[in-house]
Amino acid sequence: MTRRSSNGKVFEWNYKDNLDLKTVNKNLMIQINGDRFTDSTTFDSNKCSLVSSLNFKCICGIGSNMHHCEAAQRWTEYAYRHHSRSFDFEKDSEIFNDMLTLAESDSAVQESVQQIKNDICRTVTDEEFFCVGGRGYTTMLEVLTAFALYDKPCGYVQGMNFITASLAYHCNSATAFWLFTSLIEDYELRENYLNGLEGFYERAQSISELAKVEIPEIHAFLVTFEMITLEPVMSLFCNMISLEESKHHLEEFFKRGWKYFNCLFINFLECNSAQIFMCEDQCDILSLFKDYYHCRGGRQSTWSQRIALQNKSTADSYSICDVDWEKLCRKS
Amino acid sequence: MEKKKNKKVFLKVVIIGDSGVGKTSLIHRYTSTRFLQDFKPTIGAEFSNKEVVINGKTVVAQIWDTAGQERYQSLGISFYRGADCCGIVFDRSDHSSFENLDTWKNAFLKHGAPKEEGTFPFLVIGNKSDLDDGSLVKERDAQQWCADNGNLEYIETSAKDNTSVEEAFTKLIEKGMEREKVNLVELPDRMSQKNKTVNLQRDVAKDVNRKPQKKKCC
Repeated sequence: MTRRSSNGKVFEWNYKDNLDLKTVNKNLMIQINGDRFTDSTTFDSNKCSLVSSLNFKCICGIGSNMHHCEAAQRWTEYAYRHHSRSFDFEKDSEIFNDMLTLAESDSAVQESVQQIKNDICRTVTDEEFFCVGGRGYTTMLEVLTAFALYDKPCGYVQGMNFITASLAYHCNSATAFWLFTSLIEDYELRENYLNGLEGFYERAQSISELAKVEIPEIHAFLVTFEMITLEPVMSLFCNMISLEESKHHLEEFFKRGWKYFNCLFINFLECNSAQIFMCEDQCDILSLFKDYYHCRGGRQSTWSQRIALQNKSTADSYSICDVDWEKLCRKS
Repeated sequence: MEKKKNKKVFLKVVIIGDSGVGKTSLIHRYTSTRFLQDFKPTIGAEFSNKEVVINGKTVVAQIWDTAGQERYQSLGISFYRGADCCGIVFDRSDHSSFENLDTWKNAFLKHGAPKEEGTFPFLVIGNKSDLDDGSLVKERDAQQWCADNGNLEYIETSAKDNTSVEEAFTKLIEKGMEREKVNLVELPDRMSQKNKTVNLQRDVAKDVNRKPQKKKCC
């Protein structure tokens, strides 16, 4: 991975010399190599060609090249470290673009594209970035279309749209695609989505067993465990975690894989134990979780806000980046 | 002493149809009287309860919202069992969702395995009538399909404009009640009524009727 860490040249291109910061609109802050710049359509097009070529929106700071942010850079490194997934960004972009071209003339893929479009516009509805015509929308469409071609037996399955949105917030299409592919192939998401959802059932079973040991009292309450785990597993919790927090969330997942996910799930249940214990029956429990998963706080609200919204007595200061996942994962 | 009044009747309503036709919006409009533009895709299935009074009887309609995407149908079908009536929704502005009505009806009959399937109460719902640009699926064609498929009843709705939503669900519930008239079991205990259908896990029949053991959090 060293080839990337030393590759600062692309941006040393001197933003400082070329951009007059005072003329810049402060619409969207992008942190580049520690300096703050803004991205706006009112920029002088020559000066800001590089900024506007950024297709992601986060403020994590840019990675070793213009394809993704610093956080996504680390995700690629974890994927490499734990699963020997190597990234060659220039070459990967080429392959990705070739796939997009191929997808255009593939009738089976084009069928999925309808479904994909149908879902993208209802994935993150409170962010212009993800609305039709927005850059996030385009990234999601490209990533999922290419994936439908890349892995035809699996194809596009609902839930993937949420994961892709989180990636698209931090990367351009090509990096987002290869990171997504890494999640699917290296981090064993693929089995969850395959016909029959057998992988999901196994995963739900293992989370249930862990819960039985870690939080036996809550576990005893949750008879329909599979139903509660379905949505978080299929979307990797990306349907609930704000785009900003997805930085930490995906980082932990790329670092620790499903161990982290399981701990997060247990933690989520623990945070909501008071609410769960108040339920009279399984229907109440299912309604409670449905409210969590479909909480209308939008993707802007943080994990702790969403939990606090439902459950005022707990989770006052609970945020994903405050938890010692290392310790928790070791314990379980 | 038997108390006859105020006993609730429990009814299971299942809503099926292609992805994105507006199943969740319709249900939400009916159960909470609001329209939200931003429904996320339904993963798996979920349900809402609505208590209504029909012909002097209080009915608790447990309305199951199922995922439209094919991959999740293996999950959805486990909810078809025990349904008292079924609404098949299509998007009037999306002709392929109309063409898929056949598939949905057959899948429901196959997996839901209702008794007397020839007379099982279906209601066909043509949603998104507000998007009328002249190219919507025509009422005549929809009626024809319904006539050819066991004289089903058809209704056109718009969850967005709140057109005929209430009417559609009332019809559906009435149909379900008619069918159940003969052997309607009025269960007194809320738990046993509800839990008989909340069964996602494939092998937990015995667990499902188990009441959560109330314990205090440590």
